[in-house]
Amino acid sequence: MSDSMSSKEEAIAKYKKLKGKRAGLIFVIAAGLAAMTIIAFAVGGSSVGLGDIFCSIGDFFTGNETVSDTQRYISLDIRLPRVLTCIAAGSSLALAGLLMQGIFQNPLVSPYTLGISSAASFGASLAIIFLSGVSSVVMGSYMTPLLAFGFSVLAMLLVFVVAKVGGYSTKTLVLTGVAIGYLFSSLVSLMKYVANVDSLPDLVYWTMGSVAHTTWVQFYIILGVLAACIVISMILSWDLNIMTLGKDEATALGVNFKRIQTITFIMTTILTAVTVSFTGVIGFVGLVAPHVTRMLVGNDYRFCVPASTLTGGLLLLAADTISRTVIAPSELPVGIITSLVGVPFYLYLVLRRNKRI
Amino acid sequence: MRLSVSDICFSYGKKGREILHKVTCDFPENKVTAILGPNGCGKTTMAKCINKINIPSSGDIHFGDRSIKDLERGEIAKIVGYVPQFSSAGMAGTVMEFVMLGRRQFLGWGIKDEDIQAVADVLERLNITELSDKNYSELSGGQKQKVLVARALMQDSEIYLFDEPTSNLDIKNELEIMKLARGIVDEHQKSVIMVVHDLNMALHYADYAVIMKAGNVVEHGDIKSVLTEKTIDEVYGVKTKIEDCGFVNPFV
Repeated sequence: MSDSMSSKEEAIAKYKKLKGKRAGLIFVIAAGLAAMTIIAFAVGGSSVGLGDIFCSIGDFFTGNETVSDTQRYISLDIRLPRVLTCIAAGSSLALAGLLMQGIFQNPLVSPYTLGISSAASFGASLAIIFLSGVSSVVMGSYMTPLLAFGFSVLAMLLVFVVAKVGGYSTKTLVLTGVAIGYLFSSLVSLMKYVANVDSLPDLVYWTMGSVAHTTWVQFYIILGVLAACIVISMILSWDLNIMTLGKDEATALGVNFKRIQTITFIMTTILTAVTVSFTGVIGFVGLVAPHVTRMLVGNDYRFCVPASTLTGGLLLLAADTISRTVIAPSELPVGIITSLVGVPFYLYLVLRRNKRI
Repeated sequence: MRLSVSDICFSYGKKGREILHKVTCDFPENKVTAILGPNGCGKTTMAKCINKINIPSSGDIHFGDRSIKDLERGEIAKIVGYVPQFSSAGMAGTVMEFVMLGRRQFLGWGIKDEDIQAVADVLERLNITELSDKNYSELSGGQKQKVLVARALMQDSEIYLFDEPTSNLDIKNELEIMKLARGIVDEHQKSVIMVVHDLNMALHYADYAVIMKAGNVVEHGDIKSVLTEKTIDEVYGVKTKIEDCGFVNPFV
């Protein structure tokens, strides 16, 4: 009996220790993100350094003029929104990926699996090719993200409706999403074919993904959506844990599978659509960040959600910092860096697919 | 809690073949009830109707006086604990975490000490405490099945539904799972409903039987009364002989 008791207490102690370790790891990731943010503030193509950034922020609140107008402009209107948008965008893609992998019970699913990136690219290509003249008059620089967002949502509605007709199973959703993705992909190719020499480079650049031209407004929109989705995901974290068991078991354990699947589907659509609309198609963050997170803190969504959002922000910020410093004063689209790192990691995951994480 | 099934019909999809046709039967409380019948006769489909994984197109199911139609999924999870044939495992994590999921209807957002204690108690009761920090997906078939039973026990239900729990197990593990099911009734005064194929196991461990064929209930009642050579011939199309070999129960 005493052996049994000690063994039981040992099991309880191990579980509590595991929880503590996970909370500690989230703290470490958060600290890593904070450090990366400071590095990202400090480096760049211009001579503006970390001190100038802090002085500019100080000037903004105090009304003093300790740095030049140019330094303040670069600090407050270029680097600061870029760094913060980068974190928010990376976090959004990571959260979307985490949620998608859970409801599809497949760790190789990404926010783009259902074709949202192709649909957004098609929307953006319409704006870039046909509305480039109109956009500056009517909606300023927002025509491209508006159409990209519109077509992303349209594509997901199409996926949802077709999947519902087909019985609304996870398998139907994925197959429908892949088919819709191919449809928009071919439309993007068509757009590239008809594009003239002025608009083609813009379109190609957009599909590579970049956070080079982000603004405060874009940051606030992405942040607002992200914050709402984090709160909802945290509230639903137990149901999301159970959803990974599939429809039958989730239902038997008291979860309304269809309701949670629909809420999750809406969240991933809005998170991805908003982010992609402003940044273009940034690959692999939504796949890699949730994976790294699961390896570190396990699969409990109460830990995964904060850890994954922090990791996504950290990865994209690191990639963006590399992209704008490696060939400074020019820069590479961040999507290239994330894919260069992401592809080998993705292959590694595929190869160890048979051993569940 | 008494469970009665009245005239339920079920088919997969609106135009699909009807799997269950006006099925009516009772499941007595504090008994082990075996659902028997050949492959494809609708046993698992009926079991999944009992915990609303499948929703019948007509008919009704009552838990005591309450219709399943009036119960939310969370309420049903508190009445019916479910042990599937196997788990998709999902992104399950450790055994402790996996079993904790069974307690969903009692958990707040955070895990309290009493929740951890409850899981540890069940693991100890099933003699699988040493598996608590192992990853569920790395366990053997027999260990996984015991963990699934532990997860169902966390639901703290009145009725436990086992869907072919021993079909992938060797004889030792098969006996252990059947004893666990028997213990739920004998030691904890709950009800067990079990979809099984092994007629000898059913005769040995069950009190009551619901025998199905082609989407209908052919017989239901005390197992030793209804599981006869004639019924086996009628349902399975196999000639058998039931003999008393000197054990407590007869053998087919």
